[in-house]
Amino acid sequence: MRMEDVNILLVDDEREFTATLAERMELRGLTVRCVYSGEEALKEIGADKPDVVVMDVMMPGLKGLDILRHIKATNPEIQVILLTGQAGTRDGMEGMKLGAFDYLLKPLELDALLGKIAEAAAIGGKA
Amino acid sequence: MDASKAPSADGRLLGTLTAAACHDLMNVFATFNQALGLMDDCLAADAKTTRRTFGIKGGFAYRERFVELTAMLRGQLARAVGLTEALALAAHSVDGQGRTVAPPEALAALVALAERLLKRRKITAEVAPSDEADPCWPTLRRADYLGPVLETILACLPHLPMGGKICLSCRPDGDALAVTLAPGEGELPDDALAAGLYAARAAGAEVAPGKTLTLVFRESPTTQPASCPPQADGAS
Repeated sequence: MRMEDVNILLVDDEREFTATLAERMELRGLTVRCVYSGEEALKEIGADKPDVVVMDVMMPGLKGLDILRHIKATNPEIQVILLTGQAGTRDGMEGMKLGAFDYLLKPLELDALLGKIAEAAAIGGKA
Repeated sequence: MDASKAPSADGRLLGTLTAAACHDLMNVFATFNQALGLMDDCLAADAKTTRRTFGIKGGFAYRERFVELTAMLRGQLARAVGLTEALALAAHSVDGQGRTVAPPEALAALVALAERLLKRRKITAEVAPSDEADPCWPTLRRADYLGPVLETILACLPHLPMGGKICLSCRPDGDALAVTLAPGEGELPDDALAAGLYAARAAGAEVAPGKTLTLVFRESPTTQPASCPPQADGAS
């Protein structure tokens, strides 16, 4: 399975960041959907299950770790990559304990993210 | 923790607000970073179009200048990210949140934040890495040693030669943390030594005798000893 076939869901309340990141990923031929809250993420996952979720930890409303718990309870095969600031390293580690594939620090380098997505998708049998 | 050294409500509030603002700034920088990446992507797409159409389409006239400007912006962005990370670390030293860091990293953050103050005398500062591979740092709150170290540096500054360099190093010393401030070369001038000694003591630090300024910070009697290998600090 190629990277182009990996179904990716970006979840971050920072709309400009998410939209720009998605545009860059689409330029590379990836299939990306964006949502801007934890609640929207759960709906989107229910409607069309992604292979990899890339999600900010700190969001208004449902927090990244809450969504991660839900995903791992209902769809453990979905791989989750968390995004966090330097100060949120503890959240990242907590996320790993809860079953996140990995976490990355913001600001983010696209190549690092794409590498993680490829690794995560490979575990799930894609890419 | 020694109750007398606990941060004030004002300090905690300022720490919490500063750390929250730093978090948001990182989101802003993340957006800048992706936007700059997208500009690079657009330039690459333009070059590809130019090649593919033998110059009939594409060919951005200001490409070279544009590339220079995006590179400059990346450099400034990296600087802003570094400062914001250091500021978040300092802010978390009074609100007791954030990640745990070893004293050399905390001192490096302090030096980064103090760069503007040091520049007034064109002085640079560096933090030496620890001599030991995996030192067992004492359990101290960052605020307990960063404040006195900064006050000592600031007291020494007017007495140091313009354009000089100061080196900070630290090591565990039993249940204490020893932070040494030394010039880049030679010895500290006597008046810098005296001013630093006075400031360090006024800030509550012990000072070991010698021709360099070595500040010693001890765990308070109520603090649980650090367990190795976890790094020191922070856990307030």
